[in-house]
Amino acid sequence: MKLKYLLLAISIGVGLSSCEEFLNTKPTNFIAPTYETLAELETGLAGVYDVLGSQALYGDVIPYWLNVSTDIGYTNTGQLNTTVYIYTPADVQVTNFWKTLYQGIYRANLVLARVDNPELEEGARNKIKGQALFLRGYYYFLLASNYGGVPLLLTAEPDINNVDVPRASLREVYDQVLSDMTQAESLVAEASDLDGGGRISRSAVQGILARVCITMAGYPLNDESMYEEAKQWAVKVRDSGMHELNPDYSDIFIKYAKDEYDIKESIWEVEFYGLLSNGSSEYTYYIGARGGILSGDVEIGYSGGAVRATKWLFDLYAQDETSTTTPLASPDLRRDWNIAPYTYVGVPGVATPNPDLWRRTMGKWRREYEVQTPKDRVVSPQNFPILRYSDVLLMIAEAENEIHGGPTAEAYDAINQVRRRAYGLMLSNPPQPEVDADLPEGLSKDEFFQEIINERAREFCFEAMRRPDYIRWGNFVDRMKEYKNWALSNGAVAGHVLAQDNISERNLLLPIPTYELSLNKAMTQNPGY
Amino acid sequence: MLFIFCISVNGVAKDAIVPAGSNQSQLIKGQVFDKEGSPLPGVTVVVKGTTQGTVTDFSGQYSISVQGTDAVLVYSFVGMTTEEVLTNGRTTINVTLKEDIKSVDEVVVVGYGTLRKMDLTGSVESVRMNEMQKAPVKSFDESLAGRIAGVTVAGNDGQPGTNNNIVIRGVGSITGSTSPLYVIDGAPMEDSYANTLNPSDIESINILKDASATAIYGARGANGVVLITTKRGTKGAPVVTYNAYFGFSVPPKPLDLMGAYEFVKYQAELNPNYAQNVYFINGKTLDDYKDAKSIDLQDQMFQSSPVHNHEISVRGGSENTSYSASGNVLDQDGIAINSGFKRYQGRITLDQQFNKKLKVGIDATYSSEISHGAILTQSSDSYTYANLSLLYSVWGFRPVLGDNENLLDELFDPAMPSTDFRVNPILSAENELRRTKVDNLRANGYLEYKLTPHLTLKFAGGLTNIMVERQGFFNSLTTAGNERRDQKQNGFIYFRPVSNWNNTNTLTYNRNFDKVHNLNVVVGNVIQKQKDGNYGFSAIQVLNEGTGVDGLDEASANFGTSGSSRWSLASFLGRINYSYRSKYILTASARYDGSSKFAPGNRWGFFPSGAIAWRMSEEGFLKEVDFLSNAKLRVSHGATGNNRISDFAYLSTMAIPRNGGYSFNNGEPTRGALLENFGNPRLKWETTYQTNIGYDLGLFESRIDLSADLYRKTTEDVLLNANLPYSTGLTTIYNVATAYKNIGKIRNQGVEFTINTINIQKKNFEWSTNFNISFNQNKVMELNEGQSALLQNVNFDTDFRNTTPYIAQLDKPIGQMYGLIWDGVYQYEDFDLVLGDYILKSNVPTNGQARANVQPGDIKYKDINGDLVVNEMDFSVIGRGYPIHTGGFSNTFRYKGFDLNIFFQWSYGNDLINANRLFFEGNAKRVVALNQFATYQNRWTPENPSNEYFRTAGKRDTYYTSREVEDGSFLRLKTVSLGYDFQQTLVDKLKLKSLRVYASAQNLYTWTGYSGQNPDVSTRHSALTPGFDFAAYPLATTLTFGIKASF
Repeated sequence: MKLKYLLLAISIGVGLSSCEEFLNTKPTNFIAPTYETLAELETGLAGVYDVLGSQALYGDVIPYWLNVSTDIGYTNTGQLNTTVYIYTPADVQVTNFWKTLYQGIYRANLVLARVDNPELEEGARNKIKGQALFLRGYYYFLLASNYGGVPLLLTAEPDINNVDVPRASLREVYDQVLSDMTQAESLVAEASDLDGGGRISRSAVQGILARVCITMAGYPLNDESMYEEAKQWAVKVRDSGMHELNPDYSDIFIKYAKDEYDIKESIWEVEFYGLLSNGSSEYTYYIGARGGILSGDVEIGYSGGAVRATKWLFDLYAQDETSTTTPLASPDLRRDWNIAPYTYVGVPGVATPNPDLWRRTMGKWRREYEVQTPKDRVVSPQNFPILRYSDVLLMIAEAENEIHGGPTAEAYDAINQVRRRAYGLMLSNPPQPEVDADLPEGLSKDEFFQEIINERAREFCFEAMRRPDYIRWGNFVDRMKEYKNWALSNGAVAGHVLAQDNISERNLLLPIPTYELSLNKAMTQNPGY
Repeated sequence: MLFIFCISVNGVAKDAIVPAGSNQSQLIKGQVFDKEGSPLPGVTVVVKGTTQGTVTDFSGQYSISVQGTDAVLVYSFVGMTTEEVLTNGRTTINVTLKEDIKSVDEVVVVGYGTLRKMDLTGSVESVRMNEMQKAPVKSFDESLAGRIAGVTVAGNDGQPGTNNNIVIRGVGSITGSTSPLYVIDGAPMEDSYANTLNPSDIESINILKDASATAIYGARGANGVVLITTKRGTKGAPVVTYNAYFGFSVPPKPLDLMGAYEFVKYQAELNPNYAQNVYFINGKTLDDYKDAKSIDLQDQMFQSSPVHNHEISVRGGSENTSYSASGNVLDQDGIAINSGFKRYQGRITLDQQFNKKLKVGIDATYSSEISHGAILTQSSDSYTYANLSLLYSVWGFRPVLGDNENLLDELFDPAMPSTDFRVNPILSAENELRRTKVDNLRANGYLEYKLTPHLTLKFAGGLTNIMVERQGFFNSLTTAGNERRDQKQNGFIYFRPVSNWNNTNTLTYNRNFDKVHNLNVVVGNVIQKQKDGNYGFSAIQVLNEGTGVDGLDEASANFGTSGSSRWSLASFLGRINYSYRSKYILTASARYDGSSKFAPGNRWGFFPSGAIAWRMSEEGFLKEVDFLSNAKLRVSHGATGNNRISDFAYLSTMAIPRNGGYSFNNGEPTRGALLENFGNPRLKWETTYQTNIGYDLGLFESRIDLSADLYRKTTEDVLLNANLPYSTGLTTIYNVATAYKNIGKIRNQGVEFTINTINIQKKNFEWSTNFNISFNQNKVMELNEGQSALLQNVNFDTDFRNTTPYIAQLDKPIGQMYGLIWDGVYQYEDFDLVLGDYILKSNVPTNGQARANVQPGDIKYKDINGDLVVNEMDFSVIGRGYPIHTGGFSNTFRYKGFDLNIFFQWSYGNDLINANRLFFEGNAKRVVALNQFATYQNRWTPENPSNEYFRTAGKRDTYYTSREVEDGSFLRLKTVSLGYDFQQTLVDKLKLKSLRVYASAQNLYTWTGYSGQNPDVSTRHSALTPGFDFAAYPLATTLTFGIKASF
């Protein structure tokens, strides 16, 4: 009988022994989103920056999928996909772009929700706050300029039970962008205090504010008062004294390849880093898999050569009628840098001239200058510019022309600086010291504007600027149709203008992703999709 | 726990009258047979009025010594009528026992105990093991489909080593698991680990369906319970059984692909430039390909492959000890090259009765299974491109080469751009190493102590240790490791240890009062804990690919993974079963469960149930009805739960992944702390309320057994890992935006019929039939406030990831297919001809492309909302994922020593999304050099205005449409098995106890209208996404020949 009771006792004992304690399992694999120290806030901030380099933004989608095909470039793949404006709202690139921008916004919100912690040193945490605010603003700017008015997400605790969030108006989104960025301007570091253009500096904030304002001044808001704002922000950058053009245009891009910085010229750039073999995943597909001088030689740097320049772009650069080469040489040093005159044939690759002006590959990013070896085949650690000083100058020129109904001396000065650098006149030994790079005096507003349009093509080709520029200028569709006609009567074949075949009014905005519309019932589709 | 059929011993001493007569001891020998003349082992033979007894051996023989010449011998055996025979001086007594129609003492395994079958109030069904074990399959899940009403089994596909999805009475949950709870020898497990069990080792499988039966499993009972009991030792001399079968698997008929001429013609339309460069050089024209030989890699990819299986067991025991040991080796090559499954398994049991009160038993099972081979339906990468899957390359392979090409030995197609990752699938499959090894050790023990004759205390505990080891190595001749990929040769090795232990203590009171009241009470408590780990590493740019996995540590870069997770569960349970004359029966049960998966405050749940049964056949007015042998009405109601979500879903968590962060100033990247899970602290159980009304009828001495069940299951607070709009920003490091929520209500209701008949029962011939059919209706009753639908995407190709082919809508079943309604092909009459251009008429809707770009021959969709633009606003329901009814039909014939079993299984009314057609019947992604199904030869051209197949490149979207939705109904001749038992005389000569030879065939023939290879697939299976078919591993027809001998 004793055993009997013993067994019973054990049974009850085991049964009742502190069940709640037994159920208190602790996760060991992850951490809570508290960001209690500056170091933790920095990890949060790194996450906000992280999306910039993702494939869905500057790693691939922005420079390639959404912007490769305009009048200055096209892709040789012949694929009927996003690169030639064939997409539906379910398109993967369009969806990933949207998704990743909001991912960045949420991460910024999470940092902003924790950053005002009085226990942390104010100066340090304010720098973090400024960067997070600016990046949130920038992501909203990308959303607004690509998708129109979008839902505003400004909290770190979104309601998962009520996910039907309607669009804010386009103006409201831009107001948020301006608010975030102007707030950030006073918080972030000066460019002169930074080692490179990867971190947000005050100049980057001001320069991007200029871009935001000049965009607001154009289509679709057409708020012309913003030209003045744009100019003021750009002038702040110019007058800070921290920035100047790199005298050597090609050196800007060689520096990206060599992992060197020049914050004077390259005010804000997306950082890509490392090699697969050292465990990095912070690389771009744009350079290598897509663009670069066609090369099968991995030692030189592989490139699929998928991004090609159009003959129209080639022709846009001035030609030296006295030269004896074919094609004629250009005094504009940018031409033969941006458009590769040769390809690498065979392994080891031999630079072989490519006379076909419709089939030259983009040469702006050249993998032969990369310093990290062994080079990965299709991915590259080269940084990608978002804001260069020449853009600040050209925005001043453009805004001045608009504000005053024609170019001012200040406008001329700005654009001519860019042109003189392009012609090598800032080099210590200019190749053609006598050449006149300046625009002729006395241009009308329209003539000057046309020069801006062309100058931006020459200067920023393959930097994902062309499509947004045309859209804000309000002539994207017409211009593409016009270009198509020109191309077909100037040696292009059907495969070179696949994009222009497909572009229609609806392409002024990207479609709202099907996935979003399916889950957020308050969301509406953009026109034409 | 020991749950085998109890052997009932009749003849109780105090009732006996000591017979008069001679006191001389006499040895009586004899043999006991069943009605067919087969010897019956294990029959208890007792001298009436004494405690003296014995048990018949394997050949049914016994010997017993009795006092005197007029003793009475009592022969009893479970399921048989008890016979009493007067010895009358004889020394040899052979006895034939009849089946006991009423099976009065048949007991059924239920949760935490056994009950007499007639005292059951719940819906509990036993699998007919003797039929099921005839299927030549590696694990029970492959042969369960169609066996039991209400149990549906969705095949993943035929990939060696995979297990099927078992669902009982419809899917009640959405993203909480819908699979039942498996209780293997008393240890509750949330996965079946079906491969660890040799089907021959299974004694019984009981399916608990209604709340009366499952509520005692509380928080995990909502999806039903599968109780598996394995064989243990039996009393008597050791019996050694050897069973072996050999056979082969045959791949199904290959799909019809385009031949050389049609392919070149198509390429010339799709991309003239490519066709020119590859096919129209050296003056060749299209006509030159009319007689060209066509390559079809399906022949090389699939093969007939051998399977063999050996098992040996020994079972035996003495009065107080019983033991068993068994082992099994199974080796099954896959029908795709370089794939297969192997299992080594062994098992021992020991039960010891120490004295009348104390009994102790243990059992241990060890299995080691290895499955290997490229996974056909899923590509190897974490990001999914359909073109990385092997079958994509097999079907899409160019059927004809250009001049000077020798593609079959080359990894890369020289005519493809170097950015195309497609490779020669045969080379890749031959070179790819992908191996999963699962070692599973399961050990259980119990101690049973009878506190009083009626009160039994039982301590039971079990431990399961699992180690899953995954290895992969991709050398330079594989899709994943070739020179075009920056990872170069790469590989991984990962370990996932799982340890799970439970302690179950029960107190059982079982007593019969006054012979009319039967009371069975169980109370107990259970604690269970599981820990999962995950560690290992992957490596890229391996220096020497010859070293394989062993060389991964020397690779240029290694990326380690480590982590662990855990859950625990604590429970109290109780059940009362009261039966009055086995006529009126009452059951009440309850369980109180606490789970670590919820925040404190939401952890505990209470799950009660009650049931009554009325055996009308015991009533006086029906007792007189001759043909009625059983009639029972059962009614039950109760609640069960479902807690099967991730271990810490209630917490928001951040991770610092290797690939998340940012490099400032070209320095080592600053790692980012990124969202891993957005927690919902208010999460709680999902609760299912189920009502069941059942009726059992036995007629003509149970020659006809009918069973019908009507049920309604309503699941509330359904656990959903809900997709969130991306604009919530909650996209995690896994690249999805989801959070767990309790949402709404789902109802499953249905009816199940089972009919078992013995059609003919003659001395030499017997024919019996089993038929079951079940209908289940599923309906979403409520969703979150303001929500009218839930959409679900399927991850099979990146470009299709952002449309949602499945929907769950209010008042409609879940798992419906959702997309555009396909409306044929645009014809010329839809256009105005303006200056040589075809301009879509202004009253004709677009197909999602810009209006100006729509051309004759393009795919056309229905514009539901009439805005003349086809987009996601025009999505509608285009198919149903779940069947209207499913069932099985089995016939067994016996003629002398022969037995034949023919088993059909079917599913009716469900649709499939044949996603293969997106790529191979029109090439939705317009990929160059991708071969197509032969059907696409009939595509739209100006000369052939097909309304079925759009023109070349005539689909430019990534929408799912009704075009890919097909009727998935099928009737399958699933198992045919023919066996022969050699006559006893011959067997005796061979010094054997029994000898059987047999042949079995699995998946012999399928009647279906489905155009794919197998209608019974679900390659991206979840409750929301049933019936998705993409590049499924084809289902083999397996033929085996076997021999089984006992000695």
